[in-house]
Amino acid sequence: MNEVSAATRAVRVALVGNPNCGKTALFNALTGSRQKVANYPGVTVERKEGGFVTDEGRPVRLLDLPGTYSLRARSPDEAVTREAVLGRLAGEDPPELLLCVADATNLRLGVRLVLELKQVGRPMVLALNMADIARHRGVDIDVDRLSAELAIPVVSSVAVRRTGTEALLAQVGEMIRTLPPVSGEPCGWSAPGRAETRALQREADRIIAAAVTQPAQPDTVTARIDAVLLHPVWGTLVLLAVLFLMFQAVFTWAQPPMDAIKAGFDRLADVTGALLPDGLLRSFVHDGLIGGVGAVLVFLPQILILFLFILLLEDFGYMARAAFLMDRIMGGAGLHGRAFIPLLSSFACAIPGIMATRVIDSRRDRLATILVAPLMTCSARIPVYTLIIGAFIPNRTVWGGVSQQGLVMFGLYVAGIVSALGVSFLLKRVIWRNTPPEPFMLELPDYKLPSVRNIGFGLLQRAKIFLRRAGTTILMMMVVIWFLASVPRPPEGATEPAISYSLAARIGHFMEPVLAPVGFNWQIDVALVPGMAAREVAVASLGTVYSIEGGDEAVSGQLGQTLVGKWSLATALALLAWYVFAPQCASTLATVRRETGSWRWAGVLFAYMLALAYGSAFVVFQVASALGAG
Amino acid sequence: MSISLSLVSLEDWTDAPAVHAVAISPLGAGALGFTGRIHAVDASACPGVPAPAELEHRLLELGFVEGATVEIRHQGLFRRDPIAIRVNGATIALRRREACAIQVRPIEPVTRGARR
Repeated sequence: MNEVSAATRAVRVALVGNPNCGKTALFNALTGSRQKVANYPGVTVERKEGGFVTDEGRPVRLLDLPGTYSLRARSPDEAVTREAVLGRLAGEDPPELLLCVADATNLRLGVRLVLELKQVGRPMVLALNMADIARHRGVDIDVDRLSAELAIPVVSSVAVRRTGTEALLAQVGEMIRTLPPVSGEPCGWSAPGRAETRALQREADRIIAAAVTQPAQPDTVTARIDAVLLHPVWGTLVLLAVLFLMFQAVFTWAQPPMDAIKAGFDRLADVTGALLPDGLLRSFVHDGLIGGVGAVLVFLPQILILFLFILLLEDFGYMARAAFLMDRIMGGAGLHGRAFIPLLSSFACAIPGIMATRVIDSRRDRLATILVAPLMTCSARIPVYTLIIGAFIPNRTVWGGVSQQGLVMFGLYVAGIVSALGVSFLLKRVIWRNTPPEPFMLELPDYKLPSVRNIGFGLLQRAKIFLRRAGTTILMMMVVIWFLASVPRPPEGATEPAISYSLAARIGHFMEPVLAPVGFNWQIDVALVPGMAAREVAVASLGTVYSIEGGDEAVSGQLGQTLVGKWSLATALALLAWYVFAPQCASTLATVRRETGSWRWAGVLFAYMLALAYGSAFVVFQVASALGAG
Repeated sequence: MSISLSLVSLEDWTDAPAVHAVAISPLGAGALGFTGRIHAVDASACPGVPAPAELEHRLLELGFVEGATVEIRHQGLFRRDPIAIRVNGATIALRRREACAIQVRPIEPVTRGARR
């Protein structure tokens, strides 16, 4: 540690509160864009830290901790909150001040958490967030009385309004000025028993009864919206409509920006192609860097649109309702209602989906969700599906106006969903059948208008995480693959395409005997290897293997025709079947390893998906060949 | 801060004489629109619950304590499950199976005290 004078050293403040209390909105309001997201070492819980400066000019490092109802943590998220508050988190200094957040419209659970946190013995301040909504509803909070009862400073705050955090900032600044030095002694918290939790809740209810006057007419907006959105029939129909709109948006709205990104990379490739002399360096920059990273970056718009929907629905308060509506349906397959959100995210990309399983408390439920999430058709499969369907499935309409190509695409999505349900059914009802189902307990927060600022911050964060991944993992993989496909160089006077002499071709030939029964030739085998880095890279690799010159557009245009000449229909269908299941994404496997804490479950995932991929491709190829498509 | 750790005292909620006439039943068996007051939170008698003490604790943490007012606001499409329960100003979703740990006494929805 550097020697820093006491007046300029950053003060560590931790933000604690219930889920849905507007904690993240307050964090965004206090820190603005000065935040960074990382992972806690060893665990995969996102660590969000931001900075701000008090009125007196003291810098503050604000740590946003996952929401919890008690320090008696159940999920990995909540365990991080407990460990951080208690100062037991490895590599993390204990917070000097706890900034508790409670929802002013619904204080019961927040006040009980404050009473529990007081036992930790650190300086605390309570922010009554969403104070404007509470006031609007006629909830009258005697802040002084509340502060006296709790024996800590209490301030009203409105995270979504520009001036809503001034009083809170002033209070935090004042407390920092008189902050006692952090004692090295262990703090006084121990996990409360049931009797203590009862007593704390009674005490909280007593304090609220003394300090808060409820309105004569309760607010009915949420109840009236829920009358429709949680209605057994209408609610389910609305949910289906929302999902339909979301997928429409992902596939249609994303197209123009995706085309623009693609065009940008094509131009970049042209420029570098003109500048660099023909040879290894040009091949590296052109095919390895620009081609590889560009193929992945193209998916940024789709991922952002999907996250836009997820963040909007989350902020509005709808996500918990979706889990409520889906609980019974997914429960039939052994999945938890909360698994709905992670599985939905997996349609964009399995990685954020797998990371979103952290909201599931039970380890088995979480594992089951992680293991089936990669079966959801992620956006990286789309280029592969599009290429093969476009080339091999006749573009005609069947059953009065339904496009046959669209039907096959839809069938591939359904195949993914059905197999995910089947696998989870097998896991939870056959392999783990002696484990009783985990309870479903979820707070349904009051609806509120989504805040543009919060959504913006959320999207910005997602974009940053995605770009960082593209710039590191995927970039590295592309370099490796380019190397395998380019080295060694063809001998003088070579007649075959350069790749035939490379290490990649040797790998392809090596794999050929194994994959011949599913109808794959060595060129496909070679393309599968780079597909491990990112599925969509397989398209570019097939282009390279079949020696077609030109940018991506030319590739997908001509490649289809080339493939029709080189592959049988049975091979094409087998490759589609393979891609529904194949564990073709190293980043997903790495994420599973991180999330589950060992390679074991990543190995299980890889093995079962590979078996499914091989088996289904085998069946499809053999049946199609027998029917004369070979 | 002093908190008494006394057990649930029955006097806390048996305020109206009429209440004595109606039976205690598990919330998980309640129909849509049921309104009542929590008599006890005890998962030990629940059939098929793996960790009754933990379930009880989680219910307490979500605000289901003795004396709180509950109302079944919504229910799912299949087997009327799960249910959304209004408890003292918050809405919590539970499966009926877990809601069986909450013993309730019905109260008239319009009586004073239905909402704190």
